[in-house]
Amino acid sequence: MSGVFFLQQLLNGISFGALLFLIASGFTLVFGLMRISNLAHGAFYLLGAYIAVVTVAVTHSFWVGLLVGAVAAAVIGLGLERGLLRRVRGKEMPEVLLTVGVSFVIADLVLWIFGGDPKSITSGNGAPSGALVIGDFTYPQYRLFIIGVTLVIGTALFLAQRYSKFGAIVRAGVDNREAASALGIDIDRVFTWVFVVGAALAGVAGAIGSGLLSLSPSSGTEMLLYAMVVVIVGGLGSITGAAVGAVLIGLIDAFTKVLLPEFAYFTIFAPMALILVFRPRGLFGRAA
Amino acid sequence: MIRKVSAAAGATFAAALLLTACAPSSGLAGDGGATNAPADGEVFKIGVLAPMTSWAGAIGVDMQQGWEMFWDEYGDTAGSFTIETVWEDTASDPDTALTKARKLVEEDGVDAVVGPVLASEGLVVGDYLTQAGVANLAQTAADDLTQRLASPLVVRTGAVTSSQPNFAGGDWAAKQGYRTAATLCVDYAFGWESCGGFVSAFTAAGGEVTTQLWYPGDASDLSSYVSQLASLDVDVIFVGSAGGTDSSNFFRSANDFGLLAKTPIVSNCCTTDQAILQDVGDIALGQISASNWAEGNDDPEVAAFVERYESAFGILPSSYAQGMYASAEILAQVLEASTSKPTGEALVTAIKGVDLGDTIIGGGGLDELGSPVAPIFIREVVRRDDGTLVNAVIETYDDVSQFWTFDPEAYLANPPFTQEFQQQ
Repeated sequence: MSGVFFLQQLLNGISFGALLFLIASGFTLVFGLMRISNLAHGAFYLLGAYIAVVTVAVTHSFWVGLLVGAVAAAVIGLGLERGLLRRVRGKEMPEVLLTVGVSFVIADLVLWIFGGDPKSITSGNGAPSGALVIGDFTYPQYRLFIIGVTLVIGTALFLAQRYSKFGAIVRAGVDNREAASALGIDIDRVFTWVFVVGAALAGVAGAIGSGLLSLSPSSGTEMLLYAMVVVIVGGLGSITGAAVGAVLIGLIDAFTKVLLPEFAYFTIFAPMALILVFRPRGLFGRAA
Repeated sequence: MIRKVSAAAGATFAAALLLTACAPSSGLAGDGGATNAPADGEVFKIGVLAPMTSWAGAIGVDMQQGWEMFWDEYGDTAGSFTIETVWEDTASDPDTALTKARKLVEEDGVDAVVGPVLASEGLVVGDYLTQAGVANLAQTAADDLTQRLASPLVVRTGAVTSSQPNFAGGDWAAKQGYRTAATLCVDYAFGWESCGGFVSAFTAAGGEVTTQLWYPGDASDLSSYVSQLASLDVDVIFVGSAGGTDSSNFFRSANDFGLLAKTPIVSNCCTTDQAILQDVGDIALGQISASNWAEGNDDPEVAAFVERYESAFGILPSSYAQGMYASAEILAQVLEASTSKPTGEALVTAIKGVDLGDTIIGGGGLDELGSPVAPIFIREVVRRDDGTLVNAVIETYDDVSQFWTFDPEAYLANPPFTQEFQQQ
């Protein structure tokens, strides 16, 4: 493997991992606090993505598309949390089934409105496009851009969780919901906000992802699956875990496809299976 | 495994049906009886199996439009028969397709079944309909449907085999002077057969295939494969994808990694299909592919069909729409020439006699195994006057057989195409 080729694969792995992190971070955040496996998370990705595609086509601005996609996902997230999930809070099975149901409805609406043909965000329009060429080394600028955006968002999430007051409240809620509540924290409100942030992150991931991978109405389920794998590897509820898990899966995926192509089907799921066997709580998860 | 079991169960059930004399072909022997003197306006009932929901839902819509457009233009009477169509949704799933095929035969008592389109559904349904004695106008490309698993009740009216166009693609590539090739195909039967067609004809014409890559059907990110292809030193690259997001993702990555500028690419039908061109846009300009359908064909018949379709539905017809339209044309011709209602084997035999030159397929006929010997087009993506990207015809291979130029007997003695078996 030549140096250039190795570097390309390394960046392929990291950039795909970066997208995985954007999806997984919201999923893990919601799970960490609310103990809900939000299976509508993929639908938020889908919604953010399709809305961003339409917005960019109309406004010719990638950034407006990103913003509108994220806000749309957040608004739907707010509606789902306030309007539906709240009614079944604490009942695990109804919560899961409700989110599955919502994801089906959204995917079918998308099929109805946009049809089943592949769609993607028009390249350019304020986002980097084309290739970066340095001597023999060629690399798509958009993929580097994804890595950059993810670094900014990841750092912001980490700092907010660690140093802001809201972060402290969330952490308190994760550690001990009852005690936090007894201290006068309106935990219901915190739930709503975390849910909305999670949905917005999925929307951002959708907008950015639709410039990398074309969309179809089943993209949401596909991405949800990736998010779950990353979160299982990284540990449920941990942002650091999501980051490490995402990059790990991305790298394993990129290099196995080249070095051991016959195992390409297992690259995503084999690490998850191994983790489940040897370290069920994930790399950074807390013991239950 | 589950599919095998349910196919076997279907077969048993169908056999039981035959015993109870419900078989639609029972009146075909022609030795007297009411079936020989049809009343005017006798109903010919056609069951159509199409994926209207789930991942292949977009294909089902195209199929419906192609089918309905023909009968709207033609009227719903063919010869002395009134046409009635019953639609069933396969939900893009072979088990559902089988259940719906049974429903069409047992409850609706259809005289023929058109579809399904997906390879996984096609083989299961073809097997069941053979047991049930009902003619099947298949829309699927699975090679073996008219090869090692050929049936006297199955005829491929709406498609060609997966390998068929790519024989021509391989031959064309060799004729351009390309000596070495690498391939990237999806890792299941459709991809093996697409690649097999290209590799067999390219090597037969003196070329050499140095690298073959296979990507899993569930892969989202194809960048690893694309950067691998970009690092190779070959004259041409063949891509056999199943259409949809894979193909879009391939072109986007290939553009971003400089592959499109570096190495010429020849692809199969679906990699440059209309849906993909709409998605990826100008980067696909100039791309070469091989298919039995070209929406940018300037043949007057085809151009008129495309224009009518476009004004009716606002989009260009896909190969699925064309396949259904052609199947309806063929069926209408057969019914016009029939005095008694043709079903089962008699229907299939009559269909095999149709001249495909009278249809939108544009020439040729069906071979004795029921697969088209038809024109294959080498296509190039060009911009039409109104700005739309279309696949225009740059070269036509007439009368291409599912066996290309190989000896059918030797061909059928070989195993079907797999990753390991790529060269006839």
